[in-house]
Amino acid sequence: MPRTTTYDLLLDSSFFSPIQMQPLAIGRLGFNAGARWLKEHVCSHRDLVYRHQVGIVLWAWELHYVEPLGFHAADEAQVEVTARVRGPRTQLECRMTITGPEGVAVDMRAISVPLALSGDAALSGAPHALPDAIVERFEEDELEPVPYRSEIARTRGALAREGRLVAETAEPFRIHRHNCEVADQWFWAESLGFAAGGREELVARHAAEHPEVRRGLGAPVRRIDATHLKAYQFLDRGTVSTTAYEWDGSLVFLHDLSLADDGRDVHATAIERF
Amino acid sequence: MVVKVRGILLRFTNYESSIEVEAPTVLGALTELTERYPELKDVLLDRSGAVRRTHLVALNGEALRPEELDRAGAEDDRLDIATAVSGG
Repeated sequence: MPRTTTYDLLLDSSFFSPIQMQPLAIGRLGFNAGARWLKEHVCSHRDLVYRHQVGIVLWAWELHYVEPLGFHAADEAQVEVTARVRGPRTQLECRMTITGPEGVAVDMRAISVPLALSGDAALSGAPHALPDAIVERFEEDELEPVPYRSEIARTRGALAREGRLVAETAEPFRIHRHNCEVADQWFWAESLGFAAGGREELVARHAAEHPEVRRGLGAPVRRIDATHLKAYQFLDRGTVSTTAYEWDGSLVFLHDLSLADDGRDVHATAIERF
Repeated sequence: MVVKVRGILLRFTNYESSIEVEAPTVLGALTELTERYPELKDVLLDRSGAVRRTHLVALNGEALRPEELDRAGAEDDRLDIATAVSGG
């Protein structure tokens, strides 16, 4: 059995919207849950970076909302997290569930790419397989040779072929320090906040002519997939280009995040399904 | 030459993102830059004085390999120094 880390999470109102747990909050909780698992079973995140010179950057993220969980429902929820190495040591997968009174409310999977750090104060690095000293601390059943494959490309293709384009919009943003982690590089989960902002702007601008997009504010999101291809950095200017589709009975928002002066250079993509 | 510094590296240039340097070559510009900002030197260069492979140096948008850093630069040329990714 893969090793688990479990703990109670005290719920506060900042984790929630009126509808459900906020994706950005789940992203932050999930990263912290992964760090807890690492510290309990492998080494602390700090040791990973400063002692082993291994960094991790989030490449893909998948979130399923299962049973309802609102702030009114409970004082605490239960977090369970597992982790494993995937592919030829080129991915580190963390899986977290948050369970409330109705059962599993959130099922999240985050896939990171390991970096070999160069040893400088900027924590600069390049993608590299996890070193033996780290991999040997994982159990046999925590090593999965098959790499994770993101659903983003396949869903994007299906939306283009089979979806009905409802509306689109573009919204500028800037990376400030509260969006960043320790190296002045954006914290990946911020993509979920910028995507949500793009969706909310689309609804605000287009709901009068396309009232069906209001579901993007009033209904719970059921699933989110995201990939992060390039890192934004402190003070970068970006654009989130959002397209709403009706597809397969669902309202779907496709968000591409690019640098403001180069819209073709996609840094991250998020797909929200309602 | 105007040196452009982005995001991750800004704290090592006292948050200057556009820095004018007078140097005949890219290597000379990097030397002047790291003399002006000593903290940047340890970040940008390894112990042998070579640019770490985790940083990108580009002259007018063209990425330069380590052996091309002796490329001549003019007053209105743009030299970008970027860190693709960090592991924080």
